Amino acid sequence: MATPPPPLRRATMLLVAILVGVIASTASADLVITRADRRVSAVDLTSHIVRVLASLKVRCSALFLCFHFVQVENVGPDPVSQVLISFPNIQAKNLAAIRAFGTEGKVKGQSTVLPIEVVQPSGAPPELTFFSALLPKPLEKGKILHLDVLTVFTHSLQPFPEEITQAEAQLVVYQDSAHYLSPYPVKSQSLTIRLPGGRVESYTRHPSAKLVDSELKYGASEDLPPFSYLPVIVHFENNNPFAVAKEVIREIEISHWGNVQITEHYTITHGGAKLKGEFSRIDYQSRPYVRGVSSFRNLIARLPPRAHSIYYRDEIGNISTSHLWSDSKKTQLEIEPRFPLFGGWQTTFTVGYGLQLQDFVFYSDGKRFLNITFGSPMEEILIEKLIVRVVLPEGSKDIEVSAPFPTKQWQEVKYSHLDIVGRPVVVLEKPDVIPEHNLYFQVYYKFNNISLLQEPLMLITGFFLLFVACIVYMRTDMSISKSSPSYLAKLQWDEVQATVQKIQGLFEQCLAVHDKLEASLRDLSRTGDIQSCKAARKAADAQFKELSKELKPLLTYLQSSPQSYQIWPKVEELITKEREMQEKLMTRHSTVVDSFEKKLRGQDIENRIALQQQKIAALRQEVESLLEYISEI
Amino acid sequence: MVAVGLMLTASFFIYEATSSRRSRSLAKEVITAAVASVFLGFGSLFVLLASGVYV
Repeated sequence: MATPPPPLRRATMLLVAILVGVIASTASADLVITRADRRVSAVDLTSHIVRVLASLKVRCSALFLCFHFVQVENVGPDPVSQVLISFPNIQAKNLAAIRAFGTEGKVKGQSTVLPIEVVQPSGAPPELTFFSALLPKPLEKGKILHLDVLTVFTHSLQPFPEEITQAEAQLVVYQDSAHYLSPYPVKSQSLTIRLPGGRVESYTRHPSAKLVDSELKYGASEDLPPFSYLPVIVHFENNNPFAVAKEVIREIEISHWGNVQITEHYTITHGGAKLKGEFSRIDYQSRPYVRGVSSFRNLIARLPPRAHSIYYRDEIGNISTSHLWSDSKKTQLEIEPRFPLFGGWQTTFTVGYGLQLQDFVFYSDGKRFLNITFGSPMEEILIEKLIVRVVLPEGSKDIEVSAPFPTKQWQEVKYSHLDIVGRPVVVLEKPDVIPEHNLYFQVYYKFNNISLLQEPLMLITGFFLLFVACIVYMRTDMSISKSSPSYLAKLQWDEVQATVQKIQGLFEQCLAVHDKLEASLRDLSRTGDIQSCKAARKAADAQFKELSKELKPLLTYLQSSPQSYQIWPKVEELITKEREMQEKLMTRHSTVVDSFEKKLRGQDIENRIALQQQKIAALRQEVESLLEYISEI
Repeated sequence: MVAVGLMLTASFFIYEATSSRRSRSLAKEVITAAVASVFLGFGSLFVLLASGVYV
């Protein structure tokens, strides 16, 4: 039979001694506890959470749940508005959550949640921590109140022995008081401890103790004075997985373009008895239920429905041993770390996923708010330090947080994609988070919709600056020497090119006039309107005259420029050809008009102008090829 | 696809604007640059969003 660890035993002895001395001073005679039943459950704990409620089927073994069914009667003269609940400091240090529900009257009806506060009544012994449950309306004299208190303790199961080999089962020790510790006198009380099955190594003997079917019951004792305490110690086998996360950093990034991205970094250890000796993979794989019965391989996470782009990786890279099932209510992710976790081993990894924006960010009278769960989606895990970072879009103002439990908060700035001033980050930190803490919390902020355009505007200005730089570069003159011959030659060549381009433009205008003439001829053949034809001819004449006038100074400049020796012959050729074409076109035009006036047949007209037509076609082709050649220089 | 098409028009416009030398007009250049940069900006933003980088 193993003895419990010495320090704890000494502490309990000390506590009992102090309590005995202190009983007289703080007994409050107003309330009497007529009946107190406590149920402690270590069944469902997969880690070190002691959860005391038979109906909760959570598989987490690090939490201890303690459910106190207390019936309180007011025997004093005045109505009482608060009920005190006390715990020894050793236990209160491990208290992660406490909730109270109250129903008045004898029959168990609808219960209301009572707010709980930490109080320090005058004259109270310092080794006890007091909580007070505030009643909605005061309890009258003679009335009875049913009070249900749920408390959750972490780290209350101590592995003993602290180191085991791979083949041994894990044994843990739990300490509690068989008498209900309370500042009021207790008429009758009992304690039931539900064990996970398996063997029970030892438990504190007592005349009323009974171990039946993995349930240990310390029976009803009558008429106990206030602050009575009877320590009991139970040593039993508990092989449920003990997953403890030393630190979890949960980052929630909101983008108003439609996505909430959550990234979680985990550092998970096995918090049970440490592994001593060597780890044999053969033994573990061939007979896992005998060798390595206290280790665990899988972790299950419940993500919200419609989660997408889920990844699971660590510093080495992607971890592929994971499975995903999704339905309309949840997305379930089962992940398997790279190795099974034995006592004292640890692993780190990152899980990330994206969610739809409209499921989590809402709009209410001028402010937007994010409504999302606080804790980790992993089941059955105890988190020793949880840091939640909410990254809001750039330009958010008036940030407020409303959470259902107290947390440490501060603000930071994060620089992410396309940021100028950075995004405001609200950081919430909470120690000792259990799955009961996975409630919704809200972050309120104000965000102008126009600021959403700031990001594409930034991209646009970026590209525009690029173009402006190109323009400026093309226009500035960045040569080093301004009087070298090559520089001057280049300048002159630029001017020649400009002139040639102007000439080109003029020639294209000439060609356009030719086309107009031909169009007028076609109109003539269609409509027979000679007057408009003649008018078109006159207009064409005038335009030709103008163009030749404009052409003259350009040609003189070109002739005089020294750089134009290549182009000049071609340009001259172009001019002569164009002149020929003009003449031919004019003659043809007049011939056709005359023929029409004389009312000759179409065939005659064709005959007369056939030769001219051919020449015109040939000339046109030559002119066009010359123009092409010039433009390519 | 929109982004790729718009990027093509941008490159085309720029090429055309810089091909002439002396006879360029600043107004025309600036306008084409502005239009091209607007299209390029929006196009690249949507390319980023579609590929999963929610900026």
